Amino acid sequence: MNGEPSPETVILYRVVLTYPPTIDDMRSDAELGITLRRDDSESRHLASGISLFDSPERARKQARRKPWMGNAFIAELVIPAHRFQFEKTAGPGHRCRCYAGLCTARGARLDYRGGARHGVRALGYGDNQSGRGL
Amino acid sequence: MVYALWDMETINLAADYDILRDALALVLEGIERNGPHDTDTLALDVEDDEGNVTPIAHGQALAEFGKRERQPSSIAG
Repeated sequence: MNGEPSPETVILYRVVLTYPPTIDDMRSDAELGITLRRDDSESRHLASGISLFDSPERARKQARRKPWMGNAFIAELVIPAHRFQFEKTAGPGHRCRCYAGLCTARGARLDYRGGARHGVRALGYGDNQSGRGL
Repeated sequence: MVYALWDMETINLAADYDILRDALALVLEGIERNGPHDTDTLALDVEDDEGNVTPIAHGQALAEFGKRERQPSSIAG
């Protein structure tokens, strides 16, 4: 993951709780077996994706304001766009979701090493108590 | 303003709503469907038009908040 993304890649950011991020940080609630609170098509759809942000600043802003995130990290995902479905969620926070279960399925093939063309890397770290890092 | 419910373990957005009442309805529905510990991993926050985030409640405090605000007249949003 060096330099600018190629035209067929998308760079998005995810708040994760482990460093370095692992494939388990990229799983949807559906894949993790999280029980739905409402069993309808919208809820199932939401649960099939993972939450991402369009900039590290957005991700950082979210993480810093939420004490329950504790020591959080930001992972940068360089994603092959044609393999994933992206959808912006409501709100000003520029969240989006990566859908279709492909994040995990394809994520297993993502290379976590820094030089990979597609992959995941940790951008920073910190904790909400001290305000360091994130 | 957007009221967002997040899973605190997976850091995935569970749902978001324009109205607090709708968000709390889902919280209470989850408790009814999955049991009293359903909110153990759930957090509610509100995001303003500038993207600023303000936590409202999480965990059992969220469950208590939802129950407390169940009465329609007490919910502003």
